[in-house]
Parts: sequence; C-alpha cells; structure tokens
Amino acid sequence: MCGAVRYEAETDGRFSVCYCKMCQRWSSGVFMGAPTKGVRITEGQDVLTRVRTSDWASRGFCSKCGSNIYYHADAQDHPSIAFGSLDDTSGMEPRIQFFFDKKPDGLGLDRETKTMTEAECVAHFAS
Amino acid sequence: MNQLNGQCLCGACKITMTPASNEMHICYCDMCRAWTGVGMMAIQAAGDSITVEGPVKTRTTSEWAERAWCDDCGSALYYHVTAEGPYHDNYHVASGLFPNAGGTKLVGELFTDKRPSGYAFAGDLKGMTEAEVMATFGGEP
Ligand SMILES: [Zn+2]
Ligand SMILES: [Zn+2]
Repeated sequence: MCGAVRYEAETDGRFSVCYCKMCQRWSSGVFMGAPTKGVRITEGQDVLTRVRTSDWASRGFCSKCGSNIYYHADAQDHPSIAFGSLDDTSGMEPRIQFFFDKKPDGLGLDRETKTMTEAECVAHFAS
Repeated sequence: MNQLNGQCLCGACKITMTPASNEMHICYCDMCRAWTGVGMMAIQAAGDSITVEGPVKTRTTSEWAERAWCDDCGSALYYHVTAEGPYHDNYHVASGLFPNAGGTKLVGELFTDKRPSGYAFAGDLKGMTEAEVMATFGGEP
C-alpha cells in the first residue's frame, strides 16, 4: 500500500482463495494469492517482515504499512503473491477455494470454482 | 448487538468490540486492496465500544483515517476514522478476526469501480463507486 516493497513475479494468470482461519485473520476475511514461478524483491528488502505462521508455511508483509505481500508453503518452491499487491491483475481468474468448509456463512464468491475442504487440504499438503 | 472477541493470526493482538450491526462491507479502494490483498472486509463499531490489546501498529493513510495491523504477524486489524465530523472515531474492523466473521453478512461494497475483474462476491450487495463514496462521505468513510 505504501509502495516501500516492490517485487517482480511471474504468475500463470490464476490465483487461489483460502478461507482457513489464519488467512481470514491475516487478510480481513479471506486470502487471495497467485502462485508464482519466483518472486524477486526489487525494493524494500529491509522493510519486508518474514514471519513463520505455522509448521508448514511463512508469510511476508510490509512493516511500514502492514500490507500482505506473500504466503509461502514449505511444500511449494515459490511463494504465492497477495493478489491485491499485483500492479496488473487483468485477465486473472480464481482457480480453487481452499478450506471451503471454513468459509464464513455471510460471504461467498459470485462464481463457481474447484473447492477443497480442510480435510482434503491437510491430506494433500501435509503428507 | 452482542460483544465480539477476536484476535490476529499470531494471537498477539486481541480485539473486543460491540458491532454497530450484523453487516459487513468490503472496500475495493486502491489502498484497501493493496493492504489486504482482496479488499478490506469490515464490521463497523463505535470507538467507545472497542478495546484493542497487543503490538498494534498504525499508519495515517489519508487525511480522514488511519489503518492498523499487528506488528508481529501483519494481520490487518482496522480502519479508523480520525477526521472530525459525523463519522469521527468510527472503526471498521476486519471481519476475519472473529469466528464466522462475527456472524455478519456481506451487504455492501465501496469503490465498486476499482474491483478487479477476477472476483466478486455473491449476494444482493449495495454498491457505491468512488464518485458516490466521495459525494456521500466527502472522502473515504
Ligand atoms: Zn508498505
Ligand atoms: Zn499478530
């Protein structure tokens, strides 16, 4: 948001939606992140705070303004970049909604995507 | 309304508040999208109904308001109207801090003209464009 952290990242035009309670708490309700083929921090390396948020993943945020920057699961080679931090999201589409059974009752996307429950996510990512 | 108890991802920040209603709004302004990655999904509460504890960090982000997050984990906490006027000291607190979004329902959207094409939320949502927000609130609410 403040512009202190800048990066270059290549996505495949898709992003994921996650309703796990950690993502809900981090991102005001739901996290949307685009898997990347690598992220290169070009500015603000010193203000990018990296924090271990579970046994299987880390997150990065801007310490000057609190903006969500990335989510990085150990099982994945590269981080997923916070959708709203991308300069250009034209044409990008949601691919999947994780922890769909944890979605708050009062909100939901206007379109259908593939979904995975918590049990399916844990079986898939923790094994 | 019943009191809500919530916390950030790491648990260091704890918030207790009495919401103004059971409604949730999302703001798609450039700052809220860059901040939360999606748009700020918030529940409104009056300043005198809120207690916040923990390593809260705030930043004045416009002449109307400040935004706050957990300094330890980066969780978005709230948007707080600091400007004088009818909305003074209103808080818009991140819905995700509370179990099941505090039982609220998404009913409205701000800055609909800034919403990315890749997603939108379902329901009969009352939308306001940037121009409508500015005309109604004289700035961001
Ligand atoms: Zn920043
Ligand atoms: Zn925290």
